[in-house]
Amino acid sequence: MAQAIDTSAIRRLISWARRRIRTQRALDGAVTAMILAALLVAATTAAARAGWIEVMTAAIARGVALAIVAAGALISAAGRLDDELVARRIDRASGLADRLSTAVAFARPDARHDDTVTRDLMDAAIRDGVRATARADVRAATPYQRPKQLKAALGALVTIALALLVEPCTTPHTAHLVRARPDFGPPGAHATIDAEYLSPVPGNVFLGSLAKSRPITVLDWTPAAIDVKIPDDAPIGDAQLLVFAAGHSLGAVPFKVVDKKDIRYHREDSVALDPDEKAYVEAILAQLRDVAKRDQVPELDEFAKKLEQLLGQAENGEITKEQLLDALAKAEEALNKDAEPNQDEVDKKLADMGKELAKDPVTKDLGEALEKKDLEKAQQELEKLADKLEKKELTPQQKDELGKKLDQVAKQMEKQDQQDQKKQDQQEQKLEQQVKDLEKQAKDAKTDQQRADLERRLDDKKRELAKLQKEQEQKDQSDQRRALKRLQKDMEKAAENLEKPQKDQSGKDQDQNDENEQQASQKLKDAARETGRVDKDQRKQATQKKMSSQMDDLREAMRRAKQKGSKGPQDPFNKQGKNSDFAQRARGQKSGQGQSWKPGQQPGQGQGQGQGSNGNGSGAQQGGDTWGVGHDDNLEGDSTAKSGNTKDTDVQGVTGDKGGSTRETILAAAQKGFASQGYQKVYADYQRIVEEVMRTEKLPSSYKYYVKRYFAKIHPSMLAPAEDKK
Amino acid sequence: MTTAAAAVETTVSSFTTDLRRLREEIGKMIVGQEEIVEGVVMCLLGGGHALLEGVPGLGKTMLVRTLAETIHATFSRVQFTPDLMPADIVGTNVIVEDHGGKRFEFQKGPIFANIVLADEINRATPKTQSALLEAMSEGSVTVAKQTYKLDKPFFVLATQNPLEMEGTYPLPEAQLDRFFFKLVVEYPDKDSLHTIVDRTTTDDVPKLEAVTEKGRILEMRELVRKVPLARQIQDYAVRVVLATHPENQEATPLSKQFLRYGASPRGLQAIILAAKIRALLEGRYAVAIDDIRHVAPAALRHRLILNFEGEAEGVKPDMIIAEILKATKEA
Repeated sequence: MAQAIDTSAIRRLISWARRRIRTQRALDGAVTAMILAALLVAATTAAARAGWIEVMTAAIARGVALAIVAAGALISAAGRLDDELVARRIDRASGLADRLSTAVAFARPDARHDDTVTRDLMDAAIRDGVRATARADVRAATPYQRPKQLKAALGALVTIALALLVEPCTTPHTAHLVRARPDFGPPGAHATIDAEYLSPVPGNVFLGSLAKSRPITVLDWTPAAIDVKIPDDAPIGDAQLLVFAAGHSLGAVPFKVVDKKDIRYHREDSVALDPDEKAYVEAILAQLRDVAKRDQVPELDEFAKKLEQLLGQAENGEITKEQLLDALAKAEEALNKDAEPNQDEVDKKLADMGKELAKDPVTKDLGEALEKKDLEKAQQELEKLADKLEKKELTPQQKDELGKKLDQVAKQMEKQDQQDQKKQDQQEQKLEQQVKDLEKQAKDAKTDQQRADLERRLDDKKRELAKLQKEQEQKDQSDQRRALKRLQKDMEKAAENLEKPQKDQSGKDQDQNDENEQQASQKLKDAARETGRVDKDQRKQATQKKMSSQMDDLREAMRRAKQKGSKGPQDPFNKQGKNSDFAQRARGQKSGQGQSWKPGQQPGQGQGQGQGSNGNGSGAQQGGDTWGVGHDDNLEGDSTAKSGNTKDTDVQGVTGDKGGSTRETILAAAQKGFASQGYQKVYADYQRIVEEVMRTEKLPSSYKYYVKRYFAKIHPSMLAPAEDKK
Repeated sequence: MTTAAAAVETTVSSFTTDLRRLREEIGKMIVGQEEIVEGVVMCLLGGGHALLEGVPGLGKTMLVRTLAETIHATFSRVQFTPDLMPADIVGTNVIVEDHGGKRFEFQKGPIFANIVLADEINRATPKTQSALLEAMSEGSVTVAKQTYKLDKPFFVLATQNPLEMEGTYPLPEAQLDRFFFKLVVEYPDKDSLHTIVDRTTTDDVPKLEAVTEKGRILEMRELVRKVPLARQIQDYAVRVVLATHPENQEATPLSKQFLRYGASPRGLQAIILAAKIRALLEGRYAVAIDDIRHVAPAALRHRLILNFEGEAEGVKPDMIIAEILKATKEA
């Protein structure tokens, strides 16, 4: 039985080790506390010298400092030390394979086991542990070490001792410079020169050396610091910041002007886009700019410029990843500001308006343009109508009809707005009521299951309500809706002005009639301008929708950026090497690593197998730097294998009403070597299919990102350099 | 010392001696693969099955044959091919003529042996693989509603070739989990190659002896399960297994980055049992943390499922396990 086994030998070892551990801990604690005590002594001594406290108080503080050291030692030594852990420490140092710690664990009263054999084995393990004490080396397990804080503590003691010995300085203070903070920076950066006892009257600061220097801008001057701006064209290299005040030199502090792109001087936590990622982001930005130019969407161009600026800042190590993502989110928010949340609703409104206007011969063209969503033409038609009114080309009957139609349409729009608003309010009220009901039901629920179910439904409804309210808010802020509202007001005013002269036709004042017509014409021009605004906003949104995939890629690329300070081992999986190897192979050159890819090593395979005449070379030599003219003898590849287990299936097509479909035959790459088709065509075919699949299938964004990056890398334009050189 | 104490120490001592003799006897034929031999013996004593991965010609078949001879057990080998059917492994009912009449008689398949070598298991179709894997976990086979118990000890040693993956059916994760250990057979070193040549190309072919027998193996299995381990050591093993789960707080940076799923509780059972065997093999009466560290790679490497990034970067599970063992604190 375990009780009968004498484990005192193990316990003695543990006690000895524990004493040594506590001694070491006490030493560590005392040394750490010594720093604190030294600071206390220094502060109280200085205060006593300044006359702020009594000398007696300073003496008491010295006593307290001693007590702090003692307390530090005691508190550190008193920490709990588990027997098993101490025993394991001895096991480790003595190579005892956990014999002592296991013996300690098994000797505990709660470690008993019901099975006889297991119990016997536990007893045997304890005896084995006792036998192993002869080999235990406690000194090796608990060596005495110099406390980690010893240097700091000694430094503090020596400094204080010196401070106590030296008489307090009573000489008047002289102005002097301490250091530049930071003591390096790129051209255009701001720096602060720390100083003491400067005159409050600002002086001048120069950058360079005593022999050759130039004045720089002083941003702020206080007795303790000078803020300066390094000139944008400052030369890179070591320099000095020379300070002059009241015609006298106050000295100089060293300052190094560094290259903005030198990552050694970038912020530790700044974002790092590797060259490959950066090239990818730049390619997307170029696409954004092209589309912005083509579709004439200045906001998108602005957005691209803003991103370019952010990339520049990232490259110069000025911003962190969080800042980059935050700035990207803000830029996106600005781009989407005042966007229309429900484009179909606006389109329908315009179409209804067009339908009504198309009924009248005077506004037929305008109505048709609106019905066809051709807002550019609608704008022109409104301008034409305004011109006709201005030049008095409309008959009184036509004017009358125009007035009535515009009035009718304006009222129709207002009515529709009121109906929409009413519908929205009803929906909101209904949801609010449902939320209240569910809250009550959840409170009265009889079982936990019921409550959980009701709370889930309640959350759903709350989300629905919030969504509805947000949509309403967006609608209120929508540029398009505001323009439509103004359009309606303009039409209403135009109608009002047109109807006035009709009523006063029998009146005497003809000038008043002319003025009314002019005002109606002006209102129609205003309406034309508002239509133009709606058109512009719709184009902007349509372009943004088209570019949504690129925006996703941008976000993903930014998310994947790393921090410079936390990159860990540089390129642990040799990504850069793999990328360059891939690019090299894609150009048809032999891989530097020899065996990594078959096509680069066999004759007659792949594009760029040597230069023309050695197209069928041995393949062991360096590949050429351009496309070869030779090709695989078996251009068509092997015939289709017929041995596979195939199953014929008749597929019956069904005529649908979803629009036309395209038929396309995908030509697979040949089994050996590249297909004899043009690379660009093959690329375009495959990329189209891949884009389609990624759009229709649910895939994680990181997977999509990999696929997109792959296609970006094998894009014909990426492979062009080899061709260009030729 | 009491009689019981002396008895248990003798039992452990004879266990260690028997196991050493078994390893030495196998070592006569199998050169330069000491770790693999140790792993296979651990699987046998742990009541599990082993999956060997290695290129052809490294002595995998010879190892199993030698093991069977040294424990005086029956041995059979099944070469897995794509057209192998479940009945080819478990057996089938055939019609026999008896006293003028005809009746069905069950013809046992190669699985009815103590030690079965499933060579190139990944070449057979999933249907056939599952027939074997079912027998491995149940210890019995059922043919035409009739259940046949397999003789004990029943030990399957499956092999797969890491090259030529075309036309193979890789074992799914759930089935890989049934293997106690996955052992990777490395190419022998220079000295071992000399010894192999000396032993196999001259008349001096070593003669094998049966150093133990089946009954003794079953006794040893029972003893293994009785070996105690301290709670802190068991806790260490638990934390090692938890660290393979990327979402767990014990997970290391590499497991968070490259793993999709970690090891199952079966992996933990395998670690503990194997550690117990190693403790006995070293002549100790209880498990040490070093035992856990020693057996963890073989018990876990086939149970870690890499994520897409891990697959794309070509990360090896052994690398992640090494990091976990280094990072997991002892207490």
